[in-house]
Amino acid sequence: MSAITTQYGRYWGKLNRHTRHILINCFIGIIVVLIVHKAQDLKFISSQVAQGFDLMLRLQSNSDLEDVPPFVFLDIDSDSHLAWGEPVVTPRDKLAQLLEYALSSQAKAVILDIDLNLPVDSQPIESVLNTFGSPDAGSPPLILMKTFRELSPKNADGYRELRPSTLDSLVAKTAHYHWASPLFEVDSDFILRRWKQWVAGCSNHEPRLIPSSQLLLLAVYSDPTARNFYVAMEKLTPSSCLGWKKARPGLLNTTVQAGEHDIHWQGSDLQRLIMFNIGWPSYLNSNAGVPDTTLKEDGQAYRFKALTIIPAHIVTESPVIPDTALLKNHVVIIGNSSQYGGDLHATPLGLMPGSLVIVNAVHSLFSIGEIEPPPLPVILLIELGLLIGISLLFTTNPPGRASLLSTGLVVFVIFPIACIVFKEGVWLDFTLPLIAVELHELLAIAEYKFKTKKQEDSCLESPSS
Amino acid sequence: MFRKPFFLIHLVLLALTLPVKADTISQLGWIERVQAPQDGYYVERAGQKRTLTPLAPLFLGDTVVVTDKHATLSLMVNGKQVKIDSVLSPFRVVPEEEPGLLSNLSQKVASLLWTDSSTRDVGAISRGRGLSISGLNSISPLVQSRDSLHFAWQNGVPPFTLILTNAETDAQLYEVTTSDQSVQLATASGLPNDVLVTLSDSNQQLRYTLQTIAQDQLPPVPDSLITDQTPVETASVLYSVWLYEQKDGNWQFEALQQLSLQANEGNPLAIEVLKSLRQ
Repeated sequence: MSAITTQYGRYWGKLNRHTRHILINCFIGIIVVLIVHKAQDLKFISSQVAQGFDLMLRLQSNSDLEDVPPFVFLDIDSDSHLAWGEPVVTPRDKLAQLLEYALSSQAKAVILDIDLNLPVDSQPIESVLNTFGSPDAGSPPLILMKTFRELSPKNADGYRELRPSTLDSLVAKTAHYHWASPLFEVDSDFILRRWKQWVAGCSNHEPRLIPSSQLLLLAVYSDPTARNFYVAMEKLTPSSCLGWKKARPGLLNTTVQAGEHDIHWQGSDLQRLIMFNIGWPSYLNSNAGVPDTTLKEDGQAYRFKALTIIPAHIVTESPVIPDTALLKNHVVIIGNSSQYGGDLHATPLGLMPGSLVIVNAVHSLFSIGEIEPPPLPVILLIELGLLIGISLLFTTNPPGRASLLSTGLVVFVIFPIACIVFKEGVWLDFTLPLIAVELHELLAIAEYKFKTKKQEDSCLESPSS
Repeated sequence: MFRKPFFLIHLVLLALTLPVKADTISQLGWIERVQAPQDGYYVERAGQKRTLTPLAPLFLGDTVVVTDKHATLSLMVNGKQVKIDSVLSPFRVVPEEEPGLLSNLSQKVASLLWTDSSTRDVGAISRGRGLSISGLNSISPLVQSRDSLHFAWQNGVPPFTLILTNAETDAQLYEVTTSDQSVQLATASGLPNDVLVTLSDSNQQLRYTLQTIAQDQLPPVPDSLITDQTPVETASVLYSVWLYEQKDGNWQFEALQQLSLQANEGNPLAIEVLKSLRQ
């Protein structure tokens, strides 16, 4: 053993000072990269990643899309709220009018992003849903939002209680009507960045898996009844509500086919990040416009605005029956953006109504599926190249200049590469090299000071000797 | 001889600057509002005149023409509102000029470097709670055979109207209009299988369904709850409180009915429990 050590020591001694410096730096750098890679939950690391992600989204937002469904947002905005007489609860007769307008169109799907689980007289809505519920009606699939009772702080059962609705039986017996969860995740900085693919629920002591609206939309886009999707859901649902408590990693690691993509039932934090692309025009107050999306139908290419916002009162207060042609080939979402609705959320692209969060989540799933990091060997290879480059800079330049040049290397080489691959849904974490650069800077300064001190000491000692 | 390559380059550059492919149908906007008689305006599309109604889509190449002097059309084109009348007519639907790559990039970098100084007001106020009936969920089970039903509600603006109807036949069973926030109904004649409960004030109308069940369909008394030494009056209150606390809250209305009956019979424990549950 000692012979081997001596042999390596001899090789090490033969290396020149620069090579030894580079090798030490690379070793330390790779250790740091591995630690950072494995410790994504550390507050320092996760906040760096979140900030980097937000920056990237803001730079790349408003990009045109392809093969992504265009949305029409029937928006209960402040003007609509005023036109409807400032009601306490969204008037069910007006909602019924909006639903009738959407369901009588050739829309691809309709999402009603309003809580229907309140004990408000929903008779007008029931009447519309009954009319369009028969298979002969040929109406688009409808996604309704199921809400949950608030979790008590000491809840340890691992599931949420579903709030009952008078529409439960109607939805249960209609194949193209579906319940979905409107829940998303908010980070510790109160920014909404991630979706929640499904919710473990319980109703009347029966376990119920409620999928997210965006995941369900992907399923109903190709099959209005989402039959295969429900079969996959059934496999995940335990036999009793208490079964939600048991972790079943084998099942949760499985994926579900949604559109062109395979989506994990239980994705990682990174996989669940939403690629926000469209900000809320009212909040941004900019003239940037809305991106376009291109679709192919029967060999014909169509170009639409990725999002068309129609104030709800234009539909409900129209003196003539409004044209439904605008909704053809679109996904219609009925939601509320007025301050009174209380459905506004902080996102990386600023404040936006919950309906627009859903639109962004759907676009994100359709265009890239889940965000993936490059494989670890690729990360290590990039980092190694960068570390060698930075070490060379530090061995051939004074620390100040080397630090400036190394930051430039990250900003002008790594950051643009990260931008290019980000569009394809690959998250090359450019914050890692930044951390590595900072570490090298510290090491270089420490080394420089150590050497200066050593030289000063030897100068002081020499006269006496 | 030299002109041909220049012409070709010019052609390629022109093609690159075209915003959409020629074979793509581009929907660029829609008609928001029409304040005009039907013959006061038209949209020319592929050489044909059409009269479009509000919310009709507008495509690239459409020309909107207003002929009536008093007519106004409001359009949304490229995400922006455009108002046209006979003076501004005809209006041709074209895509908006896209900013160049450099201009786009510089705008984004600038927006990252300079923070937006504009602020937005938020209201630090609760919306309060709307009208609601104590213990009632959208669908609640209730024991069918009982002499009276007690309803209590919170919030709302009087007068209140409470209506009970038979869900199967639509026959009205009871109707009470009151300015109080509670009412007791005599139900000795029995209740149908499904009862629709409608409570309305000047702002809202709530609707609940009561699904009546037989006495033996109530959850059984847990062994650990009541012992042989527990007095009967206390045992019945304990059971009602246990029923009220059941996880999904579905039994709350039934539990409140039991407590209300016991309170009417003068059970002091039931009176206190009922008071604390309603607070």
